[in-house]
Amino acid sequence: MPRALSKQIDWAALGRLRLLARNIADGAWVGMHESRRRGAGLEFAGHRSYVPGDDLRWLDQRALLRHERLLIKQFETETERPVRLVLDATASMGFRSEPSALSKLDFAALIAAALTRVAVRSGDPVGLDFLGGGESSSSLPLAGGLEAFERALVQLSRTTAAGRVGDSRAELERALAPIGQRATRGTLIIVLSDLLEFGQEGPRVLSALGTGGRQIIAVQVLDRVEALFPLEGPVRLKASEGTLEVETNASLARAGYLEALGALQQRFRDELRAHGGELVICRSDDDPVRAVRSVLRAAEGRPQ
Amino acid sequence: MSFLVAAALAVAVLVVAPLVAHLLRRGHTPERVFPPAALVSRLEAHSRERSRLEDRGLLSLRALMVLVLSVLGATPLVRCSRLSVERPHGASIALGLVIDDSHSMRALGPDGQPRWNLALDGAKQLLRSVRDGDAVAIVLAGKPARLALSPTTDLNAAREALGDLQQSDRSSDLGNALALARSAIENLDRSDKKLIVLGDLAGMALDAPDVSAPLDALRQPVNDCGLIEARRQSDRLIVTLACSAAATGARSLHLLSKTPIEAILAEPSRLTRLALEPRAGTQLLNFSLTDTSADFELELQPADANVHNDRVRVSSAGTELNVAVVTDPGHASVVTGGPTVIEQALLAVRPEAVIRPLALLPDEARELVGYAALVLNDPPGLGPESRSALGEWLDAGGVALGLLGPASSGLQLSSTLEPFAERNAHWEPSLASLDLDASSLSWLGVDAEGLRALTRSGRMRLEGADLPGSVNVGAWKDGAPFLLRRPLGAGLVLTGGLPAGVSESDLALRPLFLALLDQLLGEAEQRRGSGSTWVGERWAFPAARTVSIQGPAGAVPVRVEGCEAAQDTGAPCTPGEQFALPELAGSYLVTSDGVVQSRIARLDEHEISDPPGSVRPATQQSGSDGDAGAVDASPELALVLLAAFAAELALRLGGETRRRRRAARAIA
Repeated sequence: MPRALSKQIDWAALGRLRLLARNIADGAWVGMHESRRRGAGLEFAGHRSYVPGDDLRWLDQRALLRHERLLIKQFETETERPVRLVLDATASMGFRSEPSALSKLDFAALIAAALTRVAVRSGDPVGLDFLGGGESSSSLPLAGGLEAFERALVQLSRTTAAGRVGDSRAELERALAPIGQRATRGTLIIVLSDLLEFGQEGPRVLSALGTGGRQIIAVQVLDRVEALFPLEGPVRLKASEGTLEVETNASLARAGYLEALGALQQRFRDELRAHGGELVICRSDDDPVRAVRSVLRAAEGRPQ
Repeated sequence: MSFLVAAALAVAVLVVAPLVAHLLRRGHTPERVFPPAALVSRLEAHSRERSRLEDRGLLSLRALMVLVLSVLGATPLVRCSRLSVERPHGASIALGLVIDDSHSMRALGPDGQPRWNLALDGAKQLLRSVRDGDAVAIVLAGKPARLALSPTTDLNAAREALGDLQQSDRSSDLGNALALARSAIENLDRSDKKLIVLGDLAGMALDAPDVSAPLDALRQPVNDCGLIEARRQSDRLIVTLACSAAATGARSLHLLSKTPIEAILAEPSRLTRLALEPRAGTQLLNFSLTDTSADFELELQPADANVHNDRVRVSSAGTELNVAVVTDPGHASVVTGGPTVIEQALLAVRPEAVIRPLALLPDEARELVGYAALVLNDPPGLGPESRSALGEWLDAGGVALGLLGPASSGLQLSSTLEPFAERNAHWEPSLASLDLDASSLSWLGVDAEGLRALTRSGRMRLEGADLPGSVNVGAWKDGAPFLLRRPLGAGLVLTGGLPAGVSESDLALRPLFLALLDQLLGEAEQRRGSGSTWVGERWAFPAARTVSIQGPAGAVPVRVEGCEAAQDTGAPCTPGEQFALPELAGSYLVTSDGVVQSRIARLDEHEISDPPGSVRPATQQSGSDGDAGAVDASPELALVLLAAFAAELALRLGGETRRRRRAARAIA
């Protein structure tokens, strides 16, 4: 869909994306999301330990005198929760194997649109950022309402897979820095990517977005071939980004590949959880409703 | 070759197509985009190896199918060179196979295979095309021509007979072999009778319409020089060398002995520097010997098409044919002087024989041991000692010819004519116009003209003087004995009724005399072993009880005349004359009743010098048009193709199933 509409808006396709996003969002909705934030508010919600930088106004002086511990009083309040969707539109996201109907980017865009719809219906402002992508892939600032949803749809449908982030720490930090700067405290950052081209430092750099009161959810979108590696016999594999080529015997290399992929996912999961985040893994041929539900559950801190 | 055949065979070039495809496939591994390529480990070498192993069976099958398709397209236009027998009338045939087992068949043909092997292969191919009801006879063309298999319809027996054939160094006797084969099958009740010669034709131009010689490869000239004989004559060494017309390249002679060459030859440098230019025909080389008793061999180098004639042994004793002549030179010489007529006649018959004139007959047997034959001309009786020595020598295998004349009539008191005749033999003055009976002497091969008007002053009257055991083998026209034959022990005594002296008769100047001496020497060679005999010539041991022979190829079987079949089956048989047939050229060691002697079986130089024979095209056309028959292999090729297709399908199905299973396991 977005690849076919790379240069101009295809309103027919946009309408379909809109319809799909709404359906997915409706299917994933109903009480699953609540913009709840602990901090300053009206209803007491408990204590937590003091960490440097906490507002001293909420220091519980009675508790300090009674228990000789620095505790911060927390209150629960209904508030809006900004959501920043980060869509990886680098070249590797354009990969699609037979017989999958969608490329990884198509699937990620669909999930992003559905999440936008969910956020808009919840009254939360939504912003959109891209990693890589064509010239038309420009960021959208935080905005709420149906207009924001429509603008996000237009942007998502224009996006094509192109470019690369770079697998060095500096390149990755350079790409993610604007996102961190735009995301204010309390923002939910959802990164939709295959997480394959981020290099060795990728998990650490990505999870750093979850600091400063932000929450980060990484959604790894893989193609069926990437997830299962069902190839046979001699084959020469060429990476989408860069010039890497690997000649191998797929039958023999399968076990090693799956093990390496699992290790990579575990590293992302560990780093993200250490910063209060989560990793959601899905395949481009999965049911998108289930994928959105998984993301929402992760955002609520519920088990997958 | 027609265009269709060429086009069909050109398809065979495509046999490389699967190979090229395989190499291309192996060289260019399928490539595909795979974003997480960095997570995949490299297994490049294993990948290529696996590709090779997996596809080898299919590759071979496809190449085979292309080849078979190509040949199938050319069949039956492609004709195999396999020999087969054609049946002009479609009925059973009588086939006479004439296989040349002479020495020339041991030469290597143009393709490096011995002619003998080619001939045997050809015979086997011909037998494979023979059907039930066909009759087959096998005749060997080595001298003398022999019937190896009488006409039979038992094809298994024919195959067995073929398997039992051995190559030999015999001379060629193709003419007689063809006659023998023709006579063997002429009375068979078959409308088609074919004679097929498998040999080099030995210089013969084959033009008989019923004979074919299908194997041209046997008639290709060969580069061959061979040593026929190395004979020692007193202190001389005479080497006989023969070369074919196609012989090329200089040869050299080498002396093989533990003794240094300087101790054997007087002028060793003559031998070491010798460079023999091959000349078609026979050459004689003459060397002086220092050591006349040394055993050694001569070898011709370098090796050529026939290595079986490049070496010859020169032995120290027993190879010379020594003949003693006891005569009065005054009576037996001609007016021109020189040796006696007997000596001259003996040399004419056997140039290689060593003739030794003796003034008196020795009184001791050991003095006669070295002689194979003895000629006594007009002896004036034999004393007791001489008779004893002669008897002992004859018992041991000596052959003696006594030509009795006037001097034999006047015997002294203690002298007799034994073992030639009784005392009552006497000289009878001339009877006018009484000739010899030609029919009684025909076994000597002399015609009547050669006996007519024999000039003589008289004759020895042998009637009633024959000793026990004597047989009259020649007679006068009045029936009186002229020539008596009397076996004595292992030896033989011949008694003639005329002396060799030219003053008494002109017998010594007649062909009859030469024929008689030839017979005498032939008998001596058989009994005592001469310097050399032809390969294949029969060696007889008439009175020997135990005979054993060691030849170049090991022990030579000694057979008993009339008991050949019984010997093969092991059945008891009354011993007759023992004999042996030397099949290979070379030196033989014969042990006869404990007496050891050396014999040489020599090659016929014509086996080397004669060019191969030829076949007149008309004869070949009419006689052998079916002998190099066409073989349509279409059904067999079609079956092979079908099997290959089935195998390929099975391989592909099996491979596909395995791939699916692996993929399913991977997904699971």
